[in-house]
Amino acid sequence: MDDLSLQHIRKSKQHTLLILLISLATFLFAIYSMGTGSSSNLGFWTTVKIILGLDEGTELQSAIIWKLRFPRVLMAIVGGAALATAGALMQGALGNPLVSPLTMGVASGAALGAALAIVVGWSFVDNDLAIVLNAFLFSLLVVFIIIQLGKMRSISAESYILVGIAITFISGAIVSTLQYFATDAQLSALAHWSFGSLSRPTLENAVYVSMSLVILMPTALKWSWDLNALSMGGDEFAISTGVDPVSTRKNILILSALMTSIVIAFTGLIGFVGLAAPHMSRLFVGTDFRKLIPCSAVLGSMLMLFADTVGRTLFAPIVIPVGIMLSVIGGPFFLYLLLKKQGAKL
Amino acid sequence: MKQTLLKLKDLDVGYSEPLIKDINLTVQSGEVIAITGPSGIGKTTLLRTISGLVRPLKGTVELQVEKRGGLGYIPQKLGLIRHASVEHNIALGSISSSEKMQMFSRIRSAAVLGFILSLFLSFFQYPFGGPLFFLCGPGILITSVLSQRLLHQQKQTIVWNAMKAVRLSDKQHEPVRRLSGGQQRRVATARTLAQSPSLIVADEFLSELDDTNVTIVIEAMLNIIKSGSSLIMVEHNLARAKQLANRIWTVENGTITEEVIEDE
Repeated sequence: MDDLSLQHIRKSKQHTLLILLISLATFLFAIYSMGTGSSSNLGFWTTVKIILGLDEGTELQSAIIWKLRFPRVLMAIVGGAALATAGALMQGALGNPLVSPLTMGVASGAALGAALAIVVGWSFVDNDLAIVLNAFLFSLLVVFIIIQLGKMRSISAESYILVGIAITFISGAIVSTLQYFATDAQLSALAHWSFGSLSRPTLENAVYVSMSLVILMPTALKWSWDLNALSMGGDEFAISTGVDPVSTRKNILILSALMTSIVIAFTGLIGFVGLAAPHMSRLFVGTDFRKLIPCSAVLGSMLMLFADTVGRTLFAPIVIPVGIMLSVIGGPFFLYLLLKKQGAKL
Repeated sequence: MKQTLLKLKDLDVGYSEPLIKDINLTVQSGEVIAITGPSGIGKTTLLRTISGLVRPLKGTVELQVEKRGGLGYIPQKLGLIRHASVEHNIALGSISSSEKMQMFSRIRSAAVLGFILSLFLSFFQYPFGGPLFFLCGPGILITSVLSQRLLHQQKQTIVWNAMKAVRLSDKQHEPVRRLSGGQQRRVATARTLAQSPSLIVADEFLSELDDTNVTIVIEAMLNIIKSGSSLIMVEHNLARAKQLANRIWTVENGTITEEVIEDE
């Protein structure tokens, strides 16, 4: 075997190891995070013992860990992974580093759905799931419109991006109009929804989101070859390797919209992780999507978990929503990585 | 039984202005079509329109091939990854899957649908949600792992056969940039063969090749055509075009004329 192949295999092994290390770090941090909070701070080992059932702990301790913090931590892990994966998929499929679930209409659709449920009271179901279901269905609807209009304009990746931006503005305008007519209470509810917080999802919600991700994640990985072909040499190269760029792009947009909307329907708008985690992963493992997708997922989990833990411990008992914390902590860290690797191509 | 693979209906191709107008042509399975005509007249644009890279200005391109890997496109500039090995280049992209794989994928899709249904059922507290959930969840995992394994084995066999067909088995691990121009063209041919496409669209893929390489590439192509695939190629050498093709499309003054070559 020649040097280049050997070098490639060695690097690939290093990258796998790195991904495993980040996963392990996320796992350990999750345990720490379950023991830490505004009340009832437990040591790492005490938390491990309570989780494993070796130490019962007080009733309050076990209730805090299982009923309050576990759903939160689980949601941070699966939500971070889903948003980051969706970001990586979109950036690859559209060949544009600025694309993220927030810029491609998913978030604006979710916001429109939530605004309709909160302000007008117009929703598909009439229970506590009204906002969640509205946000979910509207984000999918908006993505469907973007895909249809994008196809009408031309078959290139740019047309999806441009149409996505236009539709984002239109639904943003409808949300603003609704806000203009909303009462103070409705406005406050809508603002709270748009902060993006992990305190909303219940254990049941978190389990459903995790299960959906278990199904969707392998599909994302299955398309990593196609994404490699699309991002390596554009449409002509993709076709010459047997990948149909038009349908691949459409399928990937649908998949990433599904992943994003499942999460943000429960948590509210969380944007940064979908943009930054794939870029950070690219600095670590390069552009091969077979490694980039899993790396983005674990890094997304880690980022989200870290931001949420800091958000609820820094000014305890005040809890700062994870959407805000992510940008506050992630932004400078992202800038640092970018500037450190100056000249590196994203 | 011959099958129509491609139907061009009232087609105008070009970018802003049409280069070729009113194309009404069909391609059946097992046919070889050679396109001839002077440079810059729109032959490549026609091939790019057939492949879906350029939108038709007017009319339609009806392709009756599978979405994944049904169309094999060999661009003029080949589009190989120069630093990667021959094997890697051939393995890149989609490789069509066997019936067994399709069966696995159908079972998995059914399991996924069941799983989503069970999610909804349990969410709104209907019965049967739970049992369906536990039936479909492991089902998805098992079919995924099994089909992944099968796909890997199949992929290796396909790549090996394609390399043998263009006589590059001894260069398996060689980076493409170290190969001669003719050998690189053989890699591109093998990459297309590995997809076992129903329709191959090749842009000037025999030009600039010496006799040995031409023989190897043509032999490999004729083998796949015997099994029912079709080939559309741009060919400047009229004698060779007449020898290989069933029909010749001549592009002249913005129109195409078709000439059927009788079998000798």
